[in-house]
Amino acid sequence: MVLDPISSDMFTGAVRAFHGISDGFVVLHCPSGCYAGMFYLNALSDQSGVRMAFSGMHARHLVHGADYLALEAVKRVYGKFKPSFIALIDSAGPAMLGDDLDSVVWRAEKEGVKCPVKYFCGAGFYSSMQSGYDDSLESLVEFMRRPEQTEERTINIIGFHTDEPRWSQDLIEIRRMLTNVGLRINSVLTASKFEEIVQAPRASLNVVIGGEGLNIAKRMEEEFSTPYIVVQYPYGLNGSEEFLRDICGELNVKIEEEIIEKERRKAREIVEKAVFYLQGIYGLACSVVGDSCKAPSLAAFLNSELGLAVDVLAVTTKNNYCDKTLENVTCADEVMIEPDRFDLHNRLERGDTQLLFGSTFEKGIAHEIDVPLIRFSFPELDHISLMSAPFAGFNGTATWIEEIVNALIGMYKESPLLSIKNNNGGV
Amino acid sequence: MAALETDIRTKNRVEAENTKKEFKEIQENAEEIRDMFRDRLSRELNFHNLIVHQYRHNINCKLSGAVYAVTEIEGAIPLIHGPNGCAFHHRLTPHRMHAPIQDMPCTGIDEYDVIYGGEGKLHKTIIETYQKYHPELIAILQTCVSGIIGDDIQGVIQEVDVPCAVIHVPSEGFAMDRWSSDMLVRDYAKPGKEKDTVKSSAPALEAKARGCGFMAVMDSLVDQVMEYQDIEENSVNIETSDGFKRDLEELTRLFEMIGVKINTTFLCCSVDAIKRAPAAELNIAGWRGVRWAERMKNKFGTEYIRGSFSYSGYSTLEGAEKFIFDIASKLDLEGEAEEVIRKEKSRTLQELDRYAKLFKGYEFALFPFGFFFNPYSVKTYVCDLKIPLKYVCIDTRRMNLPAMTISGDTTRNMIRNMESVLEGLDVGAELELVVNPELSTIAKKVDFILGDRNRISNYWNDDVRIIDVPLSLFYRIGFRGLVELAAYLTREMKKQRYQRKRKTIVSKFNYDETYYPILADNSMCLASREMWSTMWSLRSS
Repeated sequence: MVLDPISSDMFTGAVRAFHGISDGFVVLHCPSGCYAGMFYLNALSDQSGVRMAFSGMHARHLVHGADYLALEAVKRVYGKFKPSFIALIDSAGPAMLGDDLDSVVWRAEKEGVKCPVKYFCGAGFYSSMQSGYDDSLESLVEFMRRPEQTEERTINIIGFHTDEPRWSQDLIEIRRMLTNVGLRINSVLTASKFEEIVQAPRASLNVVIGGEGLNIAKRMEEEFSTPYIVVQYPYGLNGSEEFLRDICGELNVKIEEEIIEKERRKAREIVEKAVFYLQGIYGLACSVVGDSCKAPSLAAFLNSELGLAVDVLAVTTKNNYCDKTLENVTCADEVMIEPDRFDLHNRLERGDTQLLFGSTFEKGIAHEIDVPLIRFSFPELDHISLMSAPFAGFNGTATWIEEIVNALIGMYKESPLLSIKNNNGGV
Repeated sequence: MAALETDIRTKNRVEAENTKKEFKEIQENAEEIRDMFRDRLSRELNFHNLIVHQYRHNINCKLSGAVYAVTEIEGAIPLIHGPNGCAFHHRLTPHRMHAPIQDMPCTGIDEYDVIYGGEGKLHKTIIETYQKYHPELIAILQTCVSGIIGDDIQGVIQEVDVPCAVIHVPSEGFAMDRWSSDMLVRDYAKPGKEKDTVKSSAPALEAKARGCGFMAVMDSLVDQVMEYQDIEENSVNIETSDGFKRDLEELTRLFEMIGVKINTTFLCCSVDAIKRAPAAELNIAGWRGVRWAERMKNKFGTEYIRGSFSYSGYSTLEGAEKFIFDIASKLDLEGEAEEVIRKEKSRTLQELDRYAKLFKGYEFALFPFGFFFNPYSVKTYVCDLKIPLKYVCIDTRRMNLPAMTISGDTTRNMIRNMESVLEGLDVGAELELVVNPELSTIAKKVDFILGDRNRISNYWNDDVRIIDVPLSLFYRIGFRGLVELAAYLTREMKKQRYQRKRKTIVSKFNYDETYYPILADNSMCLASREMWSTMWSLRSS
């Protein structure tokens, strides 16, 4: 039994998926606390991108219903700002009481809301954050338009989150890498405008990153015959090359070797400034805590390219492809799947971790085991990422090295001998 | 050109020398100021204020306050009885954004539990929580879901066998009250004199408040943890919170001189100290209201006094004197207190006098973002600090009062109250009340504007000397707070000399007038903000 859950529930997963639609709006039908929670998860790392409203439920509405407030919220959002898409999500309380939000969608259209409105039940007790995310993504298929023909050398990226550290920098880098080999991104689910998502079936291939959003890829294959491929998140030089080769291989696009060589050369020139440090961190024990989309790829990169020893790989949310992903990740001493936070803490305390990769919620653990924390996974609430440096791709390699080396050498540590009480100078 | 440069250099040098001369008399105690700022950082400059409060964009639910309150108690652990999502996002509680809560066990209610009840799961989770964490107290916090399905939590607690205290806190997130800010603000707006004589409606409101998680936890502690004790003479319990360090030091200092002993600092204390709280003769309730104190009075007969300055007329030097005297009276220590108060007051006046000499050379206007607290601040500035206030400005335009459900009547009352306060100050015709002026116009007529952080950046590009004066600097306990406020103002005045003609990045943005500090050209963010105000006022209407 999990006592202290490391992940959230369906509601959070749904909000994460729909909030990525860049010209859409999320309306939450919930009491104020659920809204406040989702607000923090977005606003603390990006104060310019909050696109969220709530219906203002009160205790009395849990008896008498508040679908009229949900309708009011949808109409006002549309009337004032004309978003391209509105996602209406309810939380556990209103879902239990059975507010008829399907009828709100219907009435909204009758009462002048001209953009598509999607109701998604986000009741937390139904399922996990992962399934909330997967199901929300899949629900977008109903809005997709069948194309007359697909576009060659055009892909969709599926499973991209817009609330993770350096997500926009990563997307720019991924786009750059793909452009270099002659490919174009048609749509990113979800980090695109709604119309781009509607036009998603025009792509020749769906690229599912880290297996995140596998359901929608399968569904699009059924509905629109769009093939899909699962690739790992492109961390490091090898990871990035493999990412490109996998995609290009699927599309029968030949990669000029000079392109890869040029990327490697450029990265090497940057990284050689810290070559002594690279030798210094070789063999350093670290642990990685993150979702199954990114954490295994990061662990593999840290181990195979930087030479770190991965003590624990903790997968906080397990997607449908996770087992297959982990078949290929053999770099960690121990893999923990959706562990109890207490157990994770205990395990890390018992291990020899010197550096932790995780999210804001691992801050306490990092503090207690007295190691630096590098934030790379959701949620990111105590850190901002404004610079253009990505974590992903060829260019991301230098960012990782910079973050790791700075985190380690920036620490102030007394001599460990000083902490031995009553030492009497005997050491 | 060279002559011009020489002129400028000479002018700068003269100005710098004058500055040194003016301020050399003020020897600040660096340690005190640092502590004060640490308190302030904790109270006002954390993420909550900068991000959430400045957005004025959401109000968290009862569960959030309850989670935070429990984590203040040494040896206590919150146990969330609800879906995992509640435990996930409440790990980040607005009062301690810098340190997400580490241990947060949760029953993880699922669909099965919603249908068949979650009592069995709760029972098992309590035992496991004890086995893993070995806490001294487990606080079971209800969520919307467990509140709706109606699990008999008290029944589970009676059945479960763990060697620690287990309490139930009714913290369902939906249990927010319908009462609006208007009712509370109406009370805040009363000038101190009236507040002393008219029965305040605010405590009555608090007594009924269902939506406060803090209060819910404190009630549960009184009912379920505190134990009957022999009364310890001249001892008090003080309500404390994060950022209370300086105030507690001041109270401890004064109490020691009078002969009062602090029994418990409630809630920042151990579980054992909470059990022993009824040993005190008197409770000093703070900003979390008096409901817990009322409860203790009913159950254990402990008298209480409300220490929150905004309600009790304890602001200003006169208020500080009254506060200490009121406590002493309740403990029959008036004689001891009189002597202490006399000495402290005399010392404080002497110190304030030094600052007053500096303030005397300048003209000031008071121009804060809000105006609810103006009656108190005007009295402090004019009567205690002897600051030559020329204007008291009230700006009702940028506060979005309807969204805060503050009625026009209340606004008008507040302005009238302010007028009566000014009349009562007897400072002649020099002090003028101005409603909705432009700050830049006022700034040209005075040397310094006493404002607050919320307004500053609107005008950073203007040649305005505006001093950010956080509310928490006013509502300090005891005598030292006033001296520290004066020291703070002095420091800020000095800083202003070097802050003119800056071209700060933050001033380059175009802010929305109504929803400052949201950017005017960010339509979706504005939409979120406007939607919140609209839906919140619909909810409260």
